Order: sequence, then structure tokens, then C-alpha cells
Amino acid sequence: MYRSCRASIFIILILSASLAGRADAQSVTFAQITDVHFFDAGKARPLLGARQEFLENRTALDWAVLEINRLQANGKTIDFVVFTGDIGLELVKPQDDEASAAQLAPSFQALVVKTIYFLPGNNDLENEDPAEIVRYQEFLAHLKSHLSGYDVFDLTSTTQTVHGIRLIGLNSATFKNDRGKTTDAHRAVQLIEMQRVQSQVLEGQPCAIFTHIPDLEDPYRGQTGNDVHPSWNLAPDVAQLWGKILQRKEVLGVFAGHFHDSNRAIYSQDYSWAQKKPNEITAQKTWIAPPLALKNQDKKPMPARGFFLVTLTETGTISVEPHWLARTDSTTAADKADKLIAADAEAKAGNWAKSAETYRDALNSKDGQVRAAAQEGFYKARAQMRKWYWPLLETVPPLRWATRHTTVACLLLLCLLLLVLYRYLRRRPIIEMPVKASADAPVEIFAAEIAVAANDVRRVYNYEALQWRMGFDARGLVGSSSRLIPGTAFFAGIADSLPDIQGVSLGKIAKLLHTIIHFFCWRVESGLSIAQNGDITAYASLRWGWMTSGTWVESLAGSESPDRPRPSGTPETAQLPLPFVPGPAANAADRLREVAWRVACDILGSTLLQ
Amino acid sequence: MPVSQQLKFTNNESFRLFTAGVEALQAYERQAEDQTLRRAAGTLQQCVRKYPNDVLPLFYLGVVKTLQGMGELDEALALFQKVLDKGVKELRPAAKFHLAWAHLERYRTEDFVIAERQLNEMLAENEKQTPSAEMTQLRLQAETMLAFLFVRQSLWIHRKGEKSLDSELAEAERRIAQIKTSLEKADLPEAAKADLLAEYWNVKGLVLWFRALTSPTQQIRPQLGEEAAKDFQAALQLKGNWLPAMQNLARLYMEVQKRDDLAEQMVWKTLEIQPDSQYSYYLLGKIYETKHDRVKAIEYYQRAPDNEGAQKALARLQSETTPS
Repeated sequence: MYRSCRASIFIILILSASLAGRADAQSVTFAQITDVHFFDAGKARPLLGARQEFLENRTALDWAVLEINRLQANGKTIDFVVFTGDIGLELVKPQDDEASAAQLAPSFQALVVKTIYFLPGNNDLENEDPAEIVRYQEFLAHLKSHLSGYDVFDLTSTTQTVHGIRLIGLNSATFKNDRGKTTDAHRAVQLIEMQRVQSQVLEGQPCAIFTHIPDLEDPYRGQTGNDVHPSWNLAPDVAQLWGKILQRKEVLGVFAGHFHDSNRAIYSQDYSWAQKKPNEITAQKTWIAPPLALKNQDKKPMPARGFFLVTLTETGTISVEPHWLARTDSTTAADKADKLIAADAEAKAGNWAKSAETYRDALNSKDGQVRAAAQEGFYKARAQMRKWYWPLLETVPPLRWATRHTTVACLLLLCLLLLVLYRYLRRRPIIEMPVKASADAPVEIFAAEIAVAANDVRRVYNYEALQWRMGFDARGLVGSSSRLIPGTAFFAGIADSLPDIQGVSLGKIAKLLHTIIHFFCWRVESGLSIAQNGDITAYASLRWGWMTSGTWVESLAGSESPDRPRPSGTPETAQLPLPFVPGPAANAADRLREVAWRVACDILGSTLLQ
Repeated sequence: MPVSQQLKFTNNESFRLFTAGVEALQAYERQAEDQTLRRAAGTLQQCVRKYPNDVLPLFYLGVVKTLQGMGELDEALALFQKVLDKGVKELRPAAKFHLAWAHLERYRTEDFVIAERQLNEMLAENEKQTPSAEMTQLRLQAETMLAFLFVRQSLWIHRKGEKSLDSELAEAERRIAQIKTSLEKADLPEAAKADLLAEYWNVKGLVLWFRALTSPTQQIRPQLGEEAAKDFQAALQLKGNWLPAMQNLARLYMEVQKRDDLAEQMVWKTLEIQPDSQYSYYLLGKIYETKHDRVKAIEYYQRAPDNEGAQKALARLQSETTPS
């Protein structure tokens, strides 16, 4: 009984230990460093620049090693360090491999993490030739010989398993395929590599794939700044196979490098920068570590350089902690780098005057790079400000806005043109407030009477259209949409209530647009005069834009009575008293109505004359 | 729809006078006040006098003259003929229809024949036109008017004869039923549909009235008369103050229901709308003849010089009073 109880306790302890051990094995933590460009630093720059860049890159590598050591010393358990390519071996002569390895080794020899994995990058293979992988492996063998006490592996040759997670290397060093020119030539070897990776992804065993070039659009836009291109240019069957691999649930993440862009968003799975967005699975699984090298960022005030500290669990949870290299010479930003950033932002916003001013401030920087960038920016801003149209843009902020947002501005302009065309074809003249050609002429009432009379005319033809007495649609006689609308101050009220935004008066812009649209509407411009003897004279012009379609003059002598009776149902007492129109009040109103009726008939019938 | 050159106006005054005239005509149609019809006639007359080449004022003056009745019908016919002579394609079917209507208003056998011919011509031309709601309306108007002419010519004038009119009666009822079906199917504006339905009830009332007069069974005659009165009233509900329905109702009251008081009341109403309606004076003459007031009857008959029935009755009364 006692023995049996002791045995049970033993089994439970073993199971507990095993389960606890399993819980530990479910995650790995590693540091990913990439793109140190140790041997090919500043290859496109003049000698001095290249030399400086070499120092920058070497210092960055040393900084990364020290930072990793510091993390480890602070209690972080880092299982391994992975270097995802681009030592810059392409510029090392094969006979110098050993010496070069010796040159590089000291940085790694300081590393407290004893497991280091390497992968080749495109700048490690001369001409990105797949056959050069042999030479890369030879270099790695030399490096390994200098790193005794370290486990050094080429992940593209061997798959490692750490805490139950398989670490697979994918040799993507040749995947650019010279913009597709060598896709066919390299297809076979790339397919074999992809098949190898596929075979390494085992059923039910979680894995992480490490590679140099990611399957994403390259943020580097070339010399022109407009060259949008993919990083991979694989044959369809190879790309298809990669798609299948990536979809495997066992593949927890893909860790790559290769990019040298100062936009930090790129290194955080934010694809807003990409014109061609990756598919969902690629976007979700791909991680890009920032480079250590200064390459392509030497003129940037805030380069993005550093390494990743990654914790990966068997269940697929990935924690990525970027460690940014502030500056190699200082932990603070370069002198007046903030001015440079502000100036760049102003330049992007099209505020060239402000931008030039801020660049001028940055010209006094103690930092040479900042000064160089500020000088370049200043000249650019000056060039913009010397253009003939700059004073116009400077004075009218909306125009400046339009030059920055040409697509939106063109769309708005198109909408405006369509609106003007619509208003032209719709032919609904707006009655402008008539001009007082004599003192006290009741122009407001006259405008209203024109609108009422136009409605009366329309009603006549609408009724005939309903009766179909003519045998055709009588509305065609005065135009089915032809009507006169009294003007309104309603819009002006709305425009006045619009706020100013960033010093731009939206109300004024709205009023300007309204005036332009209004100018390109059919409109009735008229005037009214009432003589002492009661003679009423009115003129009216039908206009669109600057064109006049017709002008009419109508008059009614003081002694004349209106031809047309008051509309039935309008009691005499309801007549508006017009004491300023000589004659009996009711009669005066009827006479004004008669003149308005004649004017309305003139306008609406203008298209019906032989 | 673009307006053809022939329909356009000489100047803006012509357009204004025309619009004012049509507005007055519409006011008359809504309120049936004689003065508005006279104002419409005056304005359109002025327009036609000043601008004789403008077609639409000619046409509308014809419409107004037709509404003014007997004394103006010759001018209406001349005006519609002028419109047709101008050869305006859009206006031709309407002008033909109104020409037939003006002939019908003259209420003479030879005019009925002309009206029938005009309507049939119009329908034949209509067949060739592209189908449209306007054409459908004109066709239905013509068919309703033809149904009325058939009832008038084939049934009504033979109502006192001995010949059996069963087949004609069946044909009249068939035509009326067909009009009803067509009306129900037609996609027309409500106002136009109401006008056509009023015409339908009027013709239907006439057929029932004929049956009431000619039925061999004395007992059902009052009932048929009652139904005919209801049809005329239905027509008047749809088209208030419509003279033909009012005059038919007045005559029905007098001849079938023997209610001279109601009949006289209705006739005076028609004279308020059209003070010189000769048919209304003819009816008044008949009422007073029934009342044995020969003097008044002669006086009213004399006020309908172009009405065939009135003139025959006048001749009869005068011959009876003339000492031999």
C-alpha cells in the first residue's frame, strides 16, 4: 500500500515536470539582426562617404551585440541570434574570405548568446548568382572557425528545432531575379529550394521561416522615386508553392530583412506605404526587421536602423520588440534634425515659404548630414517659390491645396462643370432682385409677381397637357422644366455660418463657388420704374453667364386698366396696398401684376417665337 | 418635345394673348361662367385678328366658338378647317376631332353624317400613327362620339317606328361595353379619363332611355328611366355643368318621368351656362307645350331657329293657331 502510494506520487511528479517542461518549450525568444553591409558599405558613394558608412555599419553591429548582451544581462533569456543576410560579401574577393571573416568575427565574439544562425542575402552572392551560395558557405565556415564556443549554423542548409519550434531558412538571395530577367534561368534552383522548405514544414510541428528578401512590394522607389516594383520575381510555379507553404498552419511567421527605408511603419506590419497591398496571410505572417546599415538612409534626418527581439510561441503568438539605433554618435537626435523634419513636412504640404524658412534654420546645424539635407531642401523650396504661379498660390490657399491634391481638385472641377451644364440644360431662370429705376419702385413685390405670373402660365400649359386637347403634350410649348424661381438669400446665410479652418474661410469659398454657379445659371435681370402719373415701365433680360438671350420692355400707362382679370378667388381686400403707385390701391396692384404677367410671358414664350 | 416651326407665334404679344385666352377658357371649364367664355373668345379673337398666321390661336378660338354653341358653330367649323389647311402635323388629329364635334353640335342629320365621316377618317389616320397616350385618348374620344352618333342615328330617331331595333340595340350595347373596357385598360391622366367616362355614362344613359321608351313591358319603363337618370347624373358628377348631360337629363325628366318642374329647372340651369343654347330653348318650348302654354312654347321655339325639332314644332303650332 505504501509502495503503491509512493509510486503514484512519483508518477504525478514526473507528469508535472514533463508538463512544466512542455510549457517552457512552447516559446522561443531570439534577436534578429540583418543587413549590416559590413563589406559593401557605401558602395555607391564616394570613397570618403563609403569609409564613413563602413564605420557607421560596424558601429551599428557592435551596438546591436552590446544591446543584446544588455538585454540578456537584464534577465531576458535569448535563445539565439539570427542574422538574416547581407554581410556584403559580394565585394570581398574569394582569396580574402579568411581575412574578412577574421575582421567580422570580433563583433560576434562579444556576444553572450551562444547560438547564431546565418542566412545569405542578395548582397552576399556576387551578381545574385545562385551558384555563389557555395562561396557564401565557405565564408561562413571561416567565420565559424573564429567563433569557437558558439553554435554557428547556416539555416538554409540545416533546420534547427528550439523548444519544439522548427527554424527553417529560405534562401531568397536570388529571388529578385534582376527584375524578372533571370526568372526562367533561376527557376529550377529556386523551385528546388522552395521544395526543400516545403519538406521542412512538418505536420503538426510549429515552425518559423527566416529569409532575407520578403515577398512584399519593395519600398525603394529607385532614383526617380516612382519605381514601384515587387521584391520577388519568381516563376509562377515557385510562387504558387510559396503560397501553399505560407498557408500551412504550422508556419507561425516569416522573418525577413532587406529593406533600407527610414519609414518605421514598414517594420511594424503597417502596409499603408505599399501601393500593391499584400494578401491577408502574407500581411499577417511577414515581419521585416530594420537594417543595421546606413545604406540609402545617409541623407535622412531620422534613419530607421536597429534589430528585433522576438518571442514566438507554439500557438502562434508573436511578440516583436524593435530596438532602434538612435544615432551611432549619440543617443539624441542630430542638431536641428527637428527643423529638418518640420521643413520636410511643410514642403510636403506645399507651404514652400515656411519650408524654405525652416530649412534655412537647419542650415546652421552642427551636423553635416542635416546641413546637406537642409541645403538641398532649401534650394528645392526656392525653386518652387520662383515659379510664375507661386504668388497666386501663396495668396489663395485653396489653390495651393488644389496643386497638392490634383485628383480631388480635378474631380471637384468636373463636378462643378457638370453642375453648370446641368443648370444650363435645366433652364430654370432665377429672378434676380429687380433694379429700382425710380425711387420707391416696389421691386420686391414685382419680383414675386413675376414668379407668380410664370407659375400661372405654366399652370395653363400643364392643364392643357392633362386635357390633351391639342393632341400633343402642351408642356412642350413652354418647356416642361421652364420656370422662374425667385432668388433667395438662404445660401448666403449658410455660408456666413461656416467656420474658418486653419485660417481658410470656408464661408468665403462657399460664397465664391455659389457666385460662380449662380453666374452660370439662367437668370432674369430686370428693372422697374413707376412715374408720377402712374405709368409703369419694366424691362427684363434673360441671361446665362455673360450671354443675353433676350431683352423685353413692357409698360402700362397710368390711364390703362389691366387686360387680365384678377385670378378668381382673390378678394379685392387681399390686394397689397401700394400707396407709392399712383392710382387707387387695388388697381395699382392689378396693374403691377399685369406688367409682371407680360414680363413672365415674354420670358417663357421667348423660345416659341417664329 | 420640340415644337415645330408652324406652331410658333409671330411675337410675344401673340403668345401672351393666346395664353390669356386659354387661361380664360380653362376658367370657363372649371366654373362654367358665360362671361369667362366670352372673355376667352374676345382675347383669342383679338389674337387671331392681329396674328392670323398663328395656328394655335385659330384652333383654340375654334374650341371656344364650339362651346359657345349654335350661333358660332359656322365660324368654329371654318376655323378648324383653316387649321387643317395649314397642314400642321401635330394638330391634325385634334383639329379633325374638333371639326367633327362642331358638326355634331349643329345637331342636324347632314352634320351627323359629316361628323361620322370625319371621325372615321381620324381613326383611320390614327391607326398609322405611333401609339401614344395622346393618340389613345383621341381614339377613345372619337369612338365614344361615334357610339353616340350610332345611338342617335340608329336608335333614337327610330324610337317611334314600328321596326324592330333589337340588333341595333345589341350593337349599341356592344360598343358601349367596348368603350368601358378600353377606358379601364387605357393609361390616361385622371382628368382625361374622367371626361371620357362622363361621355360613356351619357351614351349609356341614352340607350337606357331608348329602352325605357320602347320597352314592350310597361312596368319596367319607370325603372329603366330611373337607371338612365342615374347614368346622366354620374356623367354630371364627373363633368359638372356639362350641357349635353344636363339637357338629356332635363328631357328624360320631361318625357319619361313626367316631372316638368325638375326638367324646367334643369333647362334654366343650362341657359345660365350657355344663354343662347337653341337646344335648351327647344326643350323649354316642349315643356310649355306640355303645359298647354302655346304662347310661351311658340316664343321659345322661335328662339331656336337652327334647331330642326324646334322649327318643326313651331310650324305645327303655328298651323294649329292659324285660322283656316
